Amino acid sequence: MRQEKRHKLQLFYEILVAIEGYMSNNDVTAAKPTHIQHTSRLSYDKMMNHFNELEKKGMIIYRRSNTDGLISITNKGKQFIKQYNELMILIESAGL
Amino acid sequence: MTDPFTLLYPSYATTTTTIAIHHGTNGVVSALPPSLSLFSLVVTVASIFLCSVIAMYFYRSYRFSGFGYLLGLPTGFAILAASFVFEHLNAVYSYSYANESLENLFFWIQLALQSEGFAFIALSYMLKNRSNFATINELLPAASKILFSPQNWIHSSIKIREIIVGVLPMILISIPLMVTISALFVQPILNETELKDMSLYTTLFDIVVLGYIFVKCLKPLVKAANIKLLYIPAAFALLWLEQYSLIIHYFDNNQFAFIGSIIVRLAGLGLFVYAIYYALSSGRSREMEIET
Repeated sequence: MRQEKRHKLQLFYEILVAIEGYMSNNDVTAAKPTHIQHTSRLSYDKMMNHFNELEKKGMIIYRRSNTDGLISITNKGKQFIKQYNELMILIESAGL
Repeated sequence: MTDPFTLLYPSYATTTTTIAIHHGTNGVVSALPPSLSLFSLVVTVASIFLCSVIAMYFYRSYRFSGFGYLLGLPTGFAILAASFVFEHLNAVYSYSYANESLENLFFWIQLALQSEGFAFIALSYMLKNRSNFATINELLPAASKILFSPQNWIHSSIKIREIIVGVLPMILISIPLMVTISALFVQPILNETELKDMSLYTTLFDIVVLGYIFVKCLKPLVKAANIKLLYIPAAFALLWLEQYSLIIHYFDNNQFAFIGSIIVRLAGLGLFVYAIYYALSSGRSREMEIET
């Protein structure tokens, strides 16, 4: 099935939700990129680019290692998820 | 006896009534009665406040997302808020016989701004699915090719459709300005009859535009079977009803229609603000459910 093209904002949201979801479900302080890749349905290269961008924006902390690395979400990232949810509901309610 | 609401907004009333008010019984220039002035002020302040709240929330959404099409809605409501200022000024100056030209000018600005505001709101709905459409820079060379190469005419029906669809938003935005400015070309000094005719044209335009907004707003919500979010289409329906009441008032001079138009406008804007509050609070409660 052809996947609809996603907006960058939506991709950021999905990545951050995947990180937060993994952390809360498994009761850990960080998630592995491979787990996030599985949830966000992105190619590894593209996902790494988004990680770098999210890290620059201060929404995630990426601790790189020789094997895979660990990612954790910051308060700014959590705030983004909250604001994105509100935005989507507002836009949806206006039929936009 | 003259109806108090004809006294408040004589621009909407018949010419004969207005003249009678302006001259009074002794030919003395009368001022707007304090109670009516206060009523007009309350209605104006409430309308501006509600429009500002709507504009602020949707502007925040635009700033956060960067989706260009979202800018039409807050711009439209901000322009609508400005039109209410001129509506109040028109009501105040309606009773100053010496400043009839100012009264006409304020009424003219109010009509132009109100229609422009609705046009900007419609623009958001018109452009929401156009992110994949060609930009105007791509459309202009295509348009010249189609126009100046007759051999392409048969095969270019799709391109022509794209050009029409691409140019439509510009036409939509320019109609209110063209209608109001053309009135100045016909007669540079605005008179009451001309303004009344113009008010009919702009109100008809508003009815068509609000009908379009209502349909465009309702469709995705019905498709998603999201009945709980039908407040905003209902708010647009009330704003449509306001314009419809003004049309009735124009032909019938029915004062109930005019009072009704003010009530449904405030109800429509109030419902819109409530819809925003409802949407945001339901979003927060959904987040809390996820967290627990």
